[in-house]
Amino acid sequence: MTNFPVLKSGARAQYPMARTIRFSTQTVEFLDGSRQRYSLQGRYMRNWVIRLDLLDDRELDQFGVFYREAGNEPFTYTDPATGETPIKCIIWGWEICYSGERSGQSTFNILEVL
Amino acid sequence: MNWFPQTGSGSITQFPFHRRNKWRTISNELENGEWLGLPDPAADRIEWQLTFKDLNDDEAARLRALFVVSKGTAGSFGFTDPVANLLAWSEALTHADWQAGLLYLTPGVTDPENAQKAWSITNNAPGAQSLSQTVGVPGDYVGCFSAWVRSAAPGSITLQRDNIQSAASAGPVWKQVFVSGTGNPGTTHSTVSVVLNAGQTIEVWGLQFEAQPYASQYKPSAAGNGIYQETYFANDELTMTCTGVGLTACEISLVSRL
Repeated sequence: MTNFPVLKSGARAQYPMARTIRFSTQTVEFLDGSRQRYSLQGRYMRNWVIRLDLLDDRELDQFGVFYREAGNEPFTYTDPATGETPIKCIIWGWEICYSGERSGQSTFNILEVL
Repeated sequence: MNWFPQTGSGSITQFPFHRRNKWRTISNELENGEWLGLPDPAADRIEWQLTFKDLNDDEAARLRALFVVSKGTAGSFGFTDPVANLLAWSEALTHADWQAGLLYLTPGVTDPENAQKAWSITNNAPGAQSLSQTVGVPGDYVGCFSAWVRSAAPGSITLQRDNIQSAASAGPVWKQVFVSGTGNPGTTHSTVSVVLNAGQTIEVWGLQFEAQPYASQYKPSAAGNGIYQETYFANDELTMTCTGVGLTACEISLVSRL
């Protein structure tokens, strides 16, 4: 599996960085208003929204190459906040914005998979 | 039973936060246009939207740990209303929720707001006596028990939460006194008390217990409320945003069943 690239500074992310943990629950609501809730999965899944600002052309190109190579395939990811690795992930979304010469912005939505 | 964690300062949440009460009505509209409605109290709930900024790593980890232990929306935990007076019957000190021991209680005393809702409390016993109430707030929670007191004869008044006490002087002018801190670790309840020495008489008003480190404006209370033992996360996702080194922001939605 490929690895998610790091910035030329060695950093894996920039502030602000959003991390989400997700469970799945089935809820049954009864006629009297009471509810029963069942957890459908034993563990939580994670996703990260990595927004990177002030990227130069080489960094932007690096992420573009990674996106094309990874495609829909899982890749190895390191949690930027905790350093936990390896985490098997896929790219759930990618946006890129060229805001000037040697100044771009890129946002990755990274989803953990089993 | 798990409880929603307090921040490091001892507060339940930060401003701004939102509270929405939801009721369900069983309704039936007849052919002649008549509308019949019946309350459906089992479906009553409160929705909370809490916003946190600049949480440190420990505070963020505690919120995340509760979410993980609860498995998102599946599990329940305890939650206290961040702005409620958690005492019951704060202006009816002879109600069964209060334990007055050998104290003699007289209502109808003029309070700081020029109403007659303060009480005179006299201890004619040879030893100290206390006016107490036990509240379903865990001992690990930071809480503030406060009261307005006045005494014709200058003296000392003691407020107590479980094993911690705070003594303050009381004189002829109304004064707010409080005791703040955690109670007995691991306990599911907290007991707050006003302690009078032998032969002492004081006037008291505005008894209040809050799940925060300092007293806020007094809110009269009737039947006990503000403690919701069946509260759960409103959705299965928890997003935490790292906003700086060791700083986290997040928004949390909760549902409390009444």
